[in-house]
This record gives sequence, structure tokens and C-alpha cells, in this order.
Amino acid sequence: MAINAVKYQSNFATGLRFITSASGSAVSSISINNCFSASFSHYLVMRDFLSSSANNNVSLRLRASSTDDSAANYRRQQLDADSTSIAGARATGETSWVGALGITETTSMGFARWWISNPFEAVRTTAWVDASYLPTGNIQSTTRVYEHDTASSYDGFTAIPGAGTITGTIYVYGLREAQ
Amino acid sequence: VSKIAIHDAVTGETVERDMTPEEEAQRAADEAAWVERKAVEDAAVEATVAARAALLERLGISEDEARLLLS
Repeated sequence: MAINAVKYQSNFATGLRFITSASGSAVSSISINNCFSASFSHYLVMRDFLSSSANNNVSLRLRASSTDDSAANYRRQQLDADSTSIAGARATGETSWVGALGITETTSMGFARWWISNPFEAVRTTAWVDASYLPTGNIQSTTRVYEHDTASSYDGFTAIPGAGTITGTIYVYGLREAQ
Repeated sequence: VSKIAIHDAVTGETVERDMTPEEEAQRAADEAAWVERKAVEDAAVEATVAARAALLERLGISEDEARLLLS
């Protein structure tokens, strides 16, 4: 029993740690400042959207000192599945990470799980999302990887629906890799 | 006027306010880019669907039969 207790305590020091959550009601964007820091290298971002006024890719823009970085330095590679049809796409020189918080429909918010690596370190930030896409009467999935082309430090991000407004909450967790 | 929510993870405070003119301008640019991007992506999907249908017609087989060939 004593050995198990020690093991449990050791494991408890690692894993996901809740950092913060941010909510908005019928807003055109939700910004979170100071959620990235030297305390973590990897972060998990989940969202719990309750409504979307339009069908949207919800994009993310990195942020430092309360200011969005909207320069055209964002790139993505994606793989979309629609029944038996598989399609890939790539975009560079964009001003945000398109679809990084998934795709919402007015009828369904879908699911998105976004991992981001090294946003606070002054290196190229990378990220990955897998998400569902549920247009009426259909079900699709998308997996996307992202990179930011400059070696900059960021302490937050802004979630931006492609059109209209969103209502809901965004949760940020840090991954404690070792004690 | 569009609304923006800004949350600070250190203080825990969230401010929901009207966008500034600069933020509104960025918002308009984002929305225009989204409309343009969606039109391009929709057109690409439609072109693929049309090309697939034309090919199946030339081959004289159905979509199910084509899927069987590839399985």
C-alpha cells in the first residue's frame, strides 16, 4: 500500500493542469491574455460553445501583450473526411489558424480538441486540432496541423468565428510533463 | 457594433465591450477573407464532384461500382 501511495503522489504532479476559462455571449471574438507562460510548454484548449449565429470555421490568432498578431505568417495542412471521400488541403500566408477551434454550424457546435506547443518560447509555435463537422444531415471530420512562421513569444490567443457571433466558454489546460 | 470578450488568466477578470474601430476593421477583413475562402473551397468541392460524375458517365459505371473496384 505504501508503494502505491508514493506512486500516486508522483503521478499527481504530472498531467493536465487547469489554467483558466473564458466565456462570451453573442461576441465576435474571445481573447485570453496571459494563459501561456514559462510554466508549461504544451497546452490543451477545449471549447464548450452553446450557439453560433452562422456556419463557421472558428480560427485562432496568437496574441502577445494584449495585442493580436494578425500578420500573414500562419500556415496549415489539413485532412478532411466526408464518408468515403478523403481530401487534403494546404494554406500558407494566412492571418490566423483557420478552423483551429473547429467548425460550428447554427444547428450543431461540433467538437474540437486543440493542442499547441511552445507558444511562450521564442520559437516557431506549432499546433494540432482534430474536430468534427456536423452540417445538417451529415457528419465529417477534420485533422489539421498548424505552424507560425516567426520565432516569437505569445502569452495568449483570440478565437474568431469566420462570421457572426458565438456564445460559450473556452478552457485552457497546461501539460505538466515531469515533476 | 460587434462585441469582444477579453479574459485575463492572471486576474481572472473578463471584460465584454464594443469593438474599437481598429478591431471592427480587422473583424471586417477577417469576415471578407472567410467569405472568399469559403467560395474557393466550395467551388473546389463542386468541381471535384462534377469531374467524378463526368468520369463515371464516360466509364459507364455507377459510383457504387467504382467504389467496388477500389475496395
